Amino acid sequence: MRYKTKIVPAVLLMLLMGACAKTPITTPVAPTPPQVQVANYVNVLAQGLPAAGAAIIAARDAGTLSPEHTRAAQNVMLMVARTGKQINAILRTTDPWPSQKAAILMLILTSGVQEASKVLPPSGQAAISASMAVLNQILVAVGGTP
Amino acid sequence: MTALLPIILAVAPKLFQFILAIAALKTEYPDLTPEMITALVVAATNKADPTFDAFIAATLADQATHPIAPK
Repeated sequence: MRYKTKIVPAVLLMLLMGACAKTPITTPVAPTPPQVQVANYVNVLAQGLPAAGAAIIAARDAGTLSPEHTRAAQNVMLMVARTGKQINAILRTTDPWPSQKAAILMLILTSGVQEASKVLPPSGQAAISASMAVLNQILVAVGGTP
Repeated sequence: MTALLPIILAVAPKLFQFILAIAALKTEYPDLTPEMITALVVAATNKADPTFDAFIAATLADQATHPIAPK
């Protein structure tokens, strides 16, 4: 009887330690707030624009893109950059997310970026396709359709 | 008791794993406060804006050095 009072707690402790060592406890991933998600997308947009700009310039210097088309593609990318900055300015306001969301949606729809990108030649569109894809992700995140 | 010990040692860890897994599944993630969300947004935007500014400046400089001749 005496050994039972000593063994039982020891056995329970061993079992718990063994179980804890093998238990694959997974912490559920926290959902990202939508305004943080949009801010992260804008950051991705910012990081991708320099590479797209360099690709456009390289195509012009190689003679595969005319100076006029280069200028048109650069103007589209400038519109994307300025739109990104304006989105960031909206995100930094103290307005509630529904108001920010509506303002960002209106900004993108009235910026003219999507229309301007569609008139570029295929090589120009290819160079900015990654940036346009991220802009479309932002558009979807604020309730629009690309 | 000692005869049952190997059986208990074999079965009980799996039972404990099951119980702990259920407890983990029922763990709720704490909500982010508005201040934390603001801090995350500000951090992301502060990282992007200088990159946008540098890109705009570089592109305008390139356009200035490569003017398009009017036709």
